[in-house]
Formats: sequence, C-alpha cells, structure tokens
Amino acid sequence: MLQMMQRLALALLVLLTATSCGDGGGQGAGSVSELLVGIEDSPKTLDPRYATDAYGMRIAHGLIFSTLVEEGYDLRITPGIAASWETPDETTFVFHIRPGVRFHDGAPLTSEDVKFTFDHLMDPTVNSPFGAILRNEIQSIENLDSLTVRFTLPHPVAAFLNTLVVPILPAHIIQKTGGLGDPMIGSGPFRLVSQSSTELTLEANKDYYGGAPKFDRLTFKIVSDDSTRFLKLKKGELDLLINALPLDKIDEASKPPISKEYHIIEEPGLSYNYLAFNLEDPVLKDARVRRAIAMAVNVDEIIQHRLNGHAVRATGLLASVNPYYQPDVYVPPFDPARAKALLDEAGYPEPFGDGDPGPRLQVELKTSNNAQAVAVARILQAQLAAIGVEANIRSYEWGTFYSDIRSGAFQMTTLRWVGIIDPDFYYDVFHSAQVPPNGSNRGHYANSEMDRLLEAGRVTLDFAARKAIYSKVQKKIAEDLPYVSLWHANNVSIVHNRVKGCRQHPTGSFLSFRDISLQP
Amino acid sequence: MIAYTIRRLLLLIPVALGVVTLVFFLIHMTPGDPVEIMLGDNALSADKAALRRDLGLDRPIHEQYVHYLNGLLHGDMGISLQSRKPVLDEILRSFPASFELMAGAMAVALLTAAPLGVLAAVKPFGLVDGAAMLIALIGVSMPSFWLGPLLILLFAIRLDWLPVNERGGFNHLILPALTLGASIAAILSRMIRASLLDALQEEYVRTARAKGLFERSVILKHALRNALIPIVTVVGLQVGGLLSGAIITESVFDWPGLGSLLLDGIYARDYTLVQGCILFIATIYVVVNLLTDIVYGWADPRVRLR
Repeated sequence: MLQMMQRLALALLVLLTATSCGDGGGQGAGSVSELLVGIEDSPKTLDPRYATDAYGMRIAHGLIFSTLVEEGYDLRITPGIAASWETPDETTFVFHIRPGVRFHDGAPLTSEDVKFTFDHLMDPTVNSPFGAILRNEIQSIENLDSLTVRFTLPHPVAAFLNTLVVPILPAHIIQKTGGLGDPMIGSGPFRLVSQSSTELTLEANKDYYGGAPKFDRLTFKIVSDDSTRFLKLKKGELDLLINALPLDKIDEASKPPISKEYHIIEEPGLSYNYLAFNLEDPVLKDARVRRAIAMAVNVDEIIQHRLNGHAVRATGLLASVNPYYQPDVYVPPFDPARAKALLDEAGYPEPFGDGDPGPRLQVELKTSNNAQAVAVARILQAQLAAIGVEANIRSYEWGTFYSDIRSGAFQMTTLRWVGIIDPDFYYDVFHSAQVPPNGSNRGHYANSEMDRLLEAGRVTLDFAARKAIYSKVQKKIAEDLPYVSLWHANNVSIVHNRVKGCRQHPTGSFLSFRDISLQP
Repeated sequence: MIAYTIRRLLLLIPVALGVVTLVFFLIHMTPGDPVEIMLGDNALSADKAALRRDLGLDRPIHEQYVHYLNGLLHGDMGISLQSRKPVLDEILRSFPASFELMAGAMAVALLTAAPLGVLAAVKPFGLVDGAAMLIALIGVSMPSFWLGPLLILLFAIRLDWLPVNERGGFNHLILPALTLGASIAAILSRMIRASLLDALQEEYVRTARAKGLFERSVILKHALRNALIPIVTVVGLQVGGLLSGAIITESVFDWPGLGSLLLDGIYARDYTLVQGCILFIATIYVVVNLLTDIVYGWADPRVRLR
C-alpha cells in the first residue's frame, strides 16, 4: 500500500509540473483582439424583456440590443435607432428610424419591430416588469411608413423619452418562436456567442449601425470574490473593471506595480447614499429632531476616512451632472452645539444635567449586512452619540432588510439609490400616494405642496419651466429633511493601458465599449 | 446485500418528504419576497403582482405546497424563480463542478493524510509524529478564505504556474483542491494516527509480530486494515459534505458548484431552487452513507449488511 501511495504521489507530481508550464500568456494569441472585463455577478437573465439587475441590463440593453433613444453622457436623451423625432403636440411623438439598421441575423430593423416591441412589452401575458409603466404612458402606436413610428400618449409625460430607452426586439423571431433566438438576436454593437456561469462571450457586430466596434471579442469574466478579482487584475488577466473593486483595492491599484500596467478613471457618479427617517415615528416626525441629527452627521469625515475620498458630498438625489441639478439648497452644517440646542427645544434635554453626554433619546438604525453599510452605520452611531442620540444598529441580510424597509418597519435606515436620471424620480419617492406597495415613499413623507409640484413636474414638457419646478422640489426636500443626503459615490474604472478610448458613463453603463480600441 | 441496498434507498422517501416539507415552510417563512428582490424599486406594483401571479406565489401556501409535491411526484422540481430555467437543469449543471472539486480535495487529503498518519502512529511521540501532527494542526487551523488567496498569490501571481480562478483543465483544479483538501487532510491524518495506534495495541498485532512478519506488513496489512472503519466513516462524512458544496472555496475560486448555487438561491429567495438543491443534497447524503456502509463490509468482513 505504501508503494502504491508513493507511485500515486509521483504521478501527481509529474502531472503538476507537466501542466504548470503550459499555462499563462495565452491571451492575444493569433489576431483576435479581445477585451476582458471583470464583473461581480452573473447577469440574472439577458432577456431584455425581463432583465432588471444591473449587469443584465447593461449587457442586454446596451450591448446586445440597441434602443430607440439613448441616455447620453450628460444624461440628456440622444438619438439611438431613431435618428430624430418631433412632438407635434404634447401627447404625440413621431420617430424617424435610421435606414439600414439590421439585426444580427441580417434582417432589417423597421418600424414594424419598434411597434411590435412596445406592443409585446405592454401585453400583460408577457409579464415584463416594464409592462405597467409602458401601459401607463402609451395609448397607441402606429407605423406611418416602414421607418416612421407615431406614439400617442393618454396624457403629457415629461419623461417619456427616458421611458423609451427600451431595447428593440426582433419581431420576426419572437413571432415565429416566442423566444429571442438561440443565441439571442439583437441589433446592438455586440452579439452573444456563449454564456456560462463564469464567463460571457460576445463578438463584435461588424454591421452595427453606429460603426463596427474596433476589437473582435468582448469577454466578461464573472468573479464574485473581491480578492480573487483583484488578484486576477494584478496578474493582468483583466483589461477593465468598472466599479468592481472595493475601495482599499482601488488605492492599491493606483500604486506600483499595478499602476505601471493600468490607469484609473474616476468621476462623480449618480448613486445617492442617504440616511432616511420614518416620518410616522413619534420621535422622528419632529423636524427639529431630524435637523439635529442632520447637524450631528459629519459627511466629510465619512468620505475622507471611510470612503478614502472616492465620493462627493450629496445635497440631494440628483448628481451635479444632472441638467435639473439645483446647487442652491439648504445643506445642514456640521454643528453639534446647535444640534444639542435643537434637541433641548424639542424636549429631549440632557438626562443628567450639564456635561454628561448620556442618551437624550434612543433610535434604531437599520442597515443591510453589507460590510460598508455596517461600517458607515457605526460611524453615524459614534457621531450621533456626541449629541446624546443613542443609535442602536440593527443589520440584516438583504432580503429581510428590504422587506422591513418596504413595510415601514424602521426608524432610521441607510440606503442608496442608483441611476437617478429624470427628476420625476422624486414623485416615486416623495409623493404622498407613493407609499409602498405603490411606490418607494417608505418614510411616508406627505406634503400637499410637494404633491402638487411633483404632479406638475411630470406633465410639464418645457425644459426651463420644468427645471424651475424641480428646483423648488429640491429646495423643499432639503429643508424638510425626510432624508439626510450623504454622498454620491465616484465611478471608478481601472483600465489596462492597452485599452484606448474608454469613457465612463455616469450610470456606469457599458455604452462606451463600442468606442474602445485595443493596442496590440 | 441487494435487498439491503433497496431497503436503504427506500428510506429516501420519508427523508425526502421530511426535508422538502421542512425546507418549504422554512424558506417561505423567512422574511423577504422573491418578487421584490427580483424586480427591485423601479417596477410598478402592477408588474410585481403580475409576476407573483405568473410564478404562482399569490396562491395560499398550502396550495403551493401541494402543487410542489405533486410536481415532485412527477419528477418535476419546478422552474427557478430567478433564471426561469428548470431547477433540475441548474442543479445538474453545478453538480459536476462540485464532484470534481470533491474528488480533487479528497485526493489531496488522502495522499497527504495516509503517509502522515501512518508515520506518526508507527513512532508515536517521536520527532516524526510531532512534525506530522504539527502539519495537521496548521492544516486544520488555516481557514480556506485565507489559504485560498495565499495559494493564488504564491502559485498564480508570484510563480505564475497556475491560473487564478475558474473551472477549467486539471491545472485549474489544483489550487482549489489544495485549499479544500488541507483541512480534511489534517482531520484525516489525526484520525488515522489515533485509529492505527489503537489497532497496534491489539493482540493480533503481537501475534503477527511473533510470527516473524515484517513490520511493514504488520502495520499495513494487519493493523491498518482493522483501523479503517473510523477512517471510512470520516471520509464518507467529508465526501457527503463536499458534494453538497464548499461555499467559501467555491467563492474564492469562482467554482460554479452546488454551494454557490444554493447560497445565491437563498439570497434571492428563489424558493424552488433552494428546495430543489436541499432535496438533492439530502439524497446525496443518503447515498453516500449507504456507500460508506457498503465499504464497511469490505474493510471488515465481520460487518454484515442485512
């Protein structure tokens, strides 16, 4: 038996040495140029009718399929498949489709496909999560000719063009098979080649209407472990990571030896981190208490020490790149002394007289069990303790946490919104009719003036008039403090030096991949 | 023996029913709503209601339970709520990866534990024993989330011999197998040492030595074979555990095994997927236990399977 073991051990050793030599340096072989992108999770589905997760939408909507209109780098709507459009009246939109756009199988993309896409998504039996929104905003769609489509709306919808950032589906395939083809047929800059739980391969669509991508193959490596993703980058096995590294690893990537091979692109992003109050809570419905808490929070300290400076302070939901951004709003100053005075005024004096910081009041701070969320909650806890507010942190696994937040079972919580583009988002979050399950007004903020403004904002099409409305909205929310605005996280891309023309979209989307070129 | 095997396999039915019932109600009682998690904030409540109806989640829980059992009886484990693919397909896609990792880890464990354990038992409390048991202590003390990245750093980054992660050819298996095998090797070598030490005290060993047999044959043929029963037990338990997924190692090396599948399912409250995975894992345990018992009979003919 010992002999057998010796033989086995020897065989294993031989195998080890034999296989170890052949690996590595396999990339770039031949003439196929390949962009390797690391992502954290596998897309839940690439079917654009059902994809709602970030990677599913970025890959399906932006790369495999193309949309009628697009969200530009300045967050304004830019032409996509539709080269131009006009609005003869407030409830009519006419789109002119580019001639010569083709699906991956060569079939021409016409107004038939556009009409079919929206009718299909609005069909309740299709069960698309985009169905109800489209049904609310579209009354009918007509093809005026093979390249002209007219949308008729039941009422004016200011953000209608944003609603139309929807991938156009191949009518001829769905009508025949019910599915999208195998592999699925889109009209975007890349076509899907293969998909596994650890890798997604796409290849350039040479017939893309916007011009063929400048490299041949696009491969997504799905690496869920942060350390492993970082080590893969360190070994040079990835060309690009977009918002896919923890903060401490970003700082390591900005130093040699990694900085010799890679460079970093960092710009403020759209994600909005905030501290939310439940306004139905007997303690927190008092505006003075909320203001005191806001004044006790030192956002700059969190950004500098916890986020290593990879964020900018937020003053409201909209990032400064947003065309509707209103900079001139109330920003609670960091002022613990004034905060304590406000608590005195609100009826929460120091329990043991002068000097002793003992708790004036207790609140519960709910977070998810995400490491950064818990770390930030601890900082907030310490900052609030300084004014005598004892915050008890309760952190839960995401599914549990989310269901508590939806049902209003919280006093304070830290959360974030991602990808806010049109200010109509305020309606979903702060209109009094939008408490869950209707919308996302989880803190039960209710103000009749706000309701009126938000209702006006969604039907006002004129940009200047609309901007004036949302300026008022932003100012009023900043005053009323249903949220304490914390920060907008920066978008951080780590890019291999051979990758040229990489540009970050504020939403973190992959739209710029069609403009990237690779140096040999 | 065949009758025994059939009887043991029939045991699967009550086990499966118990497991399915327990898991079904536990996961449905866990806070969190698969539809909310799937669609997030941007979908309207009408769409959420429609999806809930489509997935059958709007029906009373006992109806869902009966529906699920009925499906199982017809060999249908249902459709994953997240991916909308059949649960069985998802499981069968992950299982080969888990099996491969298990085989690799067990190979590493057995190949290191057997010589270490035997050497340690032959000269107990000597230098070799001390060294072997120290290695075992180190092996069992290193958590895989630490050992894994460390091995990657050394073999994949510094030496550039092996790939960082992912499933692939044989060289892709080496690091995950080492990571996972290290702690099992540690447990096994201690087990082998203890069990062999006991066997070496037995009278038949003294008899064998008195017969003038070579020490090597005394240890390997007489003592080790008799010491195998507890070792087989531990190996069986480990194999069952590894087949049901090694979540941390899978995560470090992006190994698409059952563990990651189950964990993702739990996070997403993918009821059907979680139920299917756990049912599958329970079945594996029953089968592996059965195999372990059969091996007992081979290791020690006194053990009869009736």
